[in-house]
Amino acid sequence: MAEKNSNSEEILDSLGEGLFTVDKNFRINFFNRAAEEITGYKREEVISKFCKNVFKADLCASKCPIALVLESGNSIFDYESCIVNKQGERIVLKLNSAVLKNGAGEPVGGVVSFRNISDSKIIKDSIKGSSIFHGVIGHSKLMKEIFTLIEEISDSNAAILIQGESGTGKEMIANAIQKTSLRRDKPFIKVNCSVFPENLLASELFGHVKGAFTDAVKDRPGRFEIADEGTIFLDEVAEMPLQTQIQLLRVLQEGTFERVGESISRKTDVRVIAATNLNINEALTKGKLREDLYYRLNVIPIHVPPLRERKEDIPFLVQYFLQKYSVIYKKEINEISDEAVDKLIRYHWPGNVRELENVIEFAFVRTVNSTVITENKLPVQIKDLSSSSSVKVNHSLRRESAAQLLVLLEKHHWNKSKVADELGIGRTTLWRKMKSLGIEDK
Amino acid sequence: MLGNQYFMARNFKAAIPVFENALLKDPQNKAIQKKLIICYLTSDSYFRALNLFHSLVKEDIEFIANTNVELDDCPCPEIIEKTKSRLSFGENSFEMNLSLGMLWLYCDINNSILYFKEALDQEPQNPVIKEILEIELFYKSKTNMIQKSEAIHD
Repeated sequence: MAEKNSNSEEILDSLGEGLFTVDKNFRINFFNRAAEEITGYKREEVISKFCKNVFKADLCASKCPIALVLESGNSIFDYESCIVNKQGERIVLKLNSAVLKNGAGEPVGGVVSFRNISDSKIIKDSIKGSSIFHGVIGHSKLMKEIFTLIEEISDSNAAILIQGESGTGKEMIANAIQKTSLRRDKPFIKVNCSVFPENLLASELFGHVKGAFTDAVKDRPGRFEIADEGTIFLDEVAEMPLQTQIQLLRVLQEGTFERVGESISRKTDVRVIAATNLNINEALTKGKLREDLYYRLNVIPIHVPPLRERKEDIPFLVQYFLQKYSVIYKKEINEISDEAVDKLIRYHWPGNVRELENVIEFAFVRTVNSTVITENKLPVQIKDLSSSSSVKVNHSLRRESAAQLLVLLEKHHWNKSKVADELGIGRTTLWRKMKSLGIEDK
Repeated sequence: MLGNQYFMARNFKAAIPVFENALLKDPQNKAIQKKLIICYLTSDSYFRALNLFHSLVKEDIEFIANTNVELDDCPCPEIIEKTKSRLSFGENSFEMNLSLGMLWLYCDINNSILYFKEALDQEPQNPVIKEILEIELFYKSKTNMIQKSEAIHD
């Protein structure tokens, strides 16, 4: 048995993530090596101490992650918190937590694993201030308009519907809305409506009472109760079953709901941010989304444009991802060749920012013994884009203007009269501009 | 366990129903009783607290008197300060004396005895306070004797 424990400790010590466990009194009884590195405390300094006195986290008093698990019955993933290390510096963490139970199913302790995300905060800080808005990178006019709107609505508690293709960063926009809102210090709960089976989503959102269904062995609060006074983000809201849509409508209208299997009405004060990547008109026509719910959610509509409509953001996003992966892979690659950027700008990005990030990571991993990513390291579908087609952007300083012009050209299917009209210039001027930016006619 | 977290976060009101439920399942659990007394006192349930305090002191006064305020993260010093200021603002002095008598036992038995004596002066026939005081005085003299004997042997 002793050998088994020793093995477990060795395994836990080998993890890159910090990990500690507490007993039922919240006294630390295990602290792995990575936890020592992240916090600066030695194991012997923290064992048997109350976790709150070691971590001094913002959330220890109000939203202890282990308490949240005990309350909701669900483990927590990627919960952001801030602690103070032994040197007195604030460290931003993402943590997961779960409750440890004995054979009888009674809680006897908790486990928290965490990783330091301060580095990624530094990356974010290092991107030009004007191009990053609460974690969202955007230099284009379209994104700047969204940032302005988010600032304008920061005092509002109205529901928001974010629309946009998959991978455009709807969740990042929701994060920015929450961070700038009056409810920024209150709970922020995220639910992806498409991942729950139809019959479980209502229980997840509104909770249930013991015996409501076969697996309901005890009362459990739903996400709306946990998010009280805060914000809930309902991703893929149009995937919600119609019956649950009616319940959601009632929360939006009256702020009341019932747990599954219970007739007592409960009150909640939650700000709803919903998102969908579906075509709303189609969803309404097909009856997938209730019209009354749509109007309740769409008080403040936000449309996140696809990456192909904001190609001027690509150089900024690329720079951000390069810095991010430099930290993650501990490799110094901080440049990308002009030719590679040209290819990235020409690509149509059906998977949007998420796809761009994957492409950069792919190229990053493939780049060895060099600090520059070249076009031959890009995935084949991008690398093989014909260089004789449409564009050749030669100078990095002009990339942004070129990308903006490209967006317009693509929008008007390379009809230069329409582009010139939109820009308020003549066709000859447009032709000269294209030439100076290295954009060749199709 | 959730009760312990609420207690640690000084959310005594939320801790009460959790501890009460836990005590129903395990009525002899002294750790829960010890915390529940404090929770009751912060929510002005003096007589519930006194009832629990009385039975715990009878059973094992050391369990409270041996509290290490710092290591055990005991909230009593801060609650005592608040209670004292309420006493000086003229709130029911009998209840405040009872409250301070109970809270001080977690920190300093001498002060606990002082406040229970005050409470007994206000209600001389109260058998519960009488008994608590007797137990505390006996425990104090016993520990004094032990300390003296240890000092002689040293």
